[in-house]
Amino acid sequence: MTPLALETKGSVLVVGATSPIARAAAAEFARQGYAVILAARDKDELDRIAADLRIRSRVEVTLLPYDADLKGSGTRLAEIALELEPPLAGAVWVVGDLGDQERAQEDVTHAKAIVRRNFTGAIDVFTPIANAFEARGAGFLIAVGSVAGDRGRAKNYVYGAAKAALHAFMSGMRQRLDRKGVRVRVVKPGFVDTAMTFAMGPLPLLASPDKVGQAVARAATGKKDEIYTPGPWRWIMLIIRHLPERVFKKTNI
Amino acid sequence: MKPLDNKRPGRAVDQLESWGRYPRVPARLFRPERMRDFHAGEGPSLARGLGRSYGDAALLTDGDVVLSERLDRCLEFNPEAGVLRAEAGLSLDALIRAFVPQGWFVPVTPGTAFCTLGGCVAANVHGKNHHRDGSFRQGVTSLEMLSADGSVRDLTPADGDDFEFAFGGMGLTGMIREVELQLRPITTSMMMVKHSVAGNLPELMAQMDDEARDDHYSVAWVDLLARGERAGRGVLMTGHHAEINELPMRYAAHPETLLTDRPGRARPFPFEAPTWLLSPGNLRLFNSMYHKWQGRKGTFFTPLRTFFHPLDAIRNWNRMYGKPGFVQYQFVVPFESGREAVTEAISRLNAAQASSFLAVLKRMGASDGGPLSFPMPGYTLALDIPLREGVIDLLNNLDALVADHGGRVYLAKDSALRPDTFRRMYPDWERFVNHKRQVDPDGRWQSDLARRLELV
Repeated sequence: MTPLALETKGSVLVVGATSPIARAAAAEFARQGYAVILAARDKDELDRIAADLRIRSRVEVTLLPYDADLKGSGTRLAEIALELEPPLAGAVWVVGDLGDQERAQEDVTHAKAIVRRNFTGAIDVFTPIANAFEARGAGFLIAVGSVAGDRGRAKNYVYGAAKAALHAFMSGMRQRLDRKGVRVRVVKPGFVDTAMTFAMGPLPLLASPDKVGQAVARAATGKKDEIYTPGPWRWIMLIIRHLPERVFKKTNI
Repeated sequence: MKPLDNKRPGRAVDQLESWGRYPRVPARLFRPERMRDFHAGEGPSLARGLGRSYGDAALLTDGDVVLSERLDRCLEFNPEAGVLRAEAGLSLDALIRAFVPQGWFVPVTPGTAFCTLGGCVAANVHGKNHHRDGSFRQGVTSLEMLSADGSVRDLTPADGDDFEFAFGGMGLTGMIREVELQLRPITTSMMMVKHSVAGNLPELMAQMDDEARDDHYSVAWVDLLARGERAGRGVLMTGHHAEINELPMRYAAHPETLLTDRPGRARPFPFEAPTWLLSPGNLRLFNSMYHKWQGRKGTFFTPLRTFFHPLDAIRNWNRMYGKPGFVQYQFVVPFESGREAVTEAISRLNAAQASSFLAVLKRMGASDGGPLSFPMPGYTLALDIPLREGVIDLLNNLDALVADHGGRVYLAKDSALRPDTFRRMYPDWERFVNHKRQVDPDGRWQSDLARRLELV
């Protein structure tokens, strides 16, 4: 609809694009001058979000299907995204699903689905893109993790374990690729005001998805490798991570 | 992807309140993030936007209240014609932010931008241009509505009552999912405003009726506390969207700033005010200063936001009225008996010492929308009344006066009207009830307002 400026900064792939965090991140990338590629399974929602971005942010939007539960979906997504014009400048993993911890304790299939949606899906998407970025010597990869990945808690340890694995995966890629000019970032939100937390009632340090989405998009250019959002979570998690296990196991944190 | 954990229980709240903070009721809240999840709950349900109605229109005791705020996507926009199709949860604030820089403004806006398109339809809101442009209905070309039977219908004026009754329908005829709106073209984001002082109510009304003084937007502030010869003194504020050639050179020198939206940072009202803050003495002092200060301004230029939504600059200004909350009372009476009715209402308010410093008087134009739509030709007066003992009796007393004069109160602000008086004010109420029975036979869409007025 609006003609794209001839000089673009390239495009950014947002995976899991129908979440409120992803939507805000996409709008922020658009504001920074990137074209955006939105990938998700829910076609109706994807169309609505794309229309909104085109109208409000006046940005070029490409839609691609992605389903973390389908074998090969992530690899195919990465291949297509790498061939699109303008060339891919970065990729963001915003897929996440808290699942049902109690069910995961009984039902291993459910536990594995949680891991797939929070972690192993990212391997499929990021691996080919990371290799392309490495060869090119430029690009950024951002994953939305969680403070829940900083320490396993009884309330959500399957989710937490998947997020912890995601953090470690990104950290390893960072050590490998940072020297090649590829920025690898992790954004760890605390409680975000979305459907995931809405029923829980008022929560401490509750962040709006807009704020978190903006933090995600700004991570691409910022200096920090790991970003806690809102900021105070860095200190809260510092304390929680350092509680001795013999103390931690007796708490209900 | 469908979430793995699909049981979304909603949030139970003890004290759901709207802008007047009275009444407060228990309810279950849902806040869907996908359009397909925007539907009724298990039992009686009600869609709610940003909760800026004052009374119980957006409350449903022990029911399922479905918030539209996350469904706020712009879906289609024709930049030549200025026609926008968006989801019902889009706020006027977001709309203005996105479209003023592109040279488009909302056709009608109430005194706050923190309201949703769906809410604007449901209350058929009006603004300072009602005498010229009518209510929100006039800007809307199409609606998408979820009916009680689960069907989704695209409605246009050709659909007759199904379309029209949504305007002022208070959300009781169906859930509004999408709204198509004809925006208003503007060449600058500044308003050219004129303030003129009137020494008393007859003078103020005469100024307001004077066509030579009239402008696209017109509203008057009234000092309800002034007595004797000065009773009803006020300031008439008229204005229009400034054209580029009207602006002083200092604006024109920076063409890139001609169409900008500067909402500014909303400052919070810092505390729940103690009740003495709004004592009659303090208010009288404030009104005196305000009358002088505003009257002195003459003709000037001001940004859109300052002209249309001055109170939006203070977040939670409703806390000013302290813990008990307040009611906003707004009525309209036909021109014929307007002066008499307004004078009598002001004197009854004064006798009851129901102090208020924000009283607004305006001429309204033709009616439109459904049978419960508020606006009708006449004078409308709106004022805040802090909630105290006896206020509800006072309101019922005023309701009778308004009904006797062939007028009505604004349901989006009401929390005290009784069903018998309501029926006198809205003589077509039966058409609405019949329509509702037809489109919603099981009474799926309800609200505390609907229950109080015996509409369900």
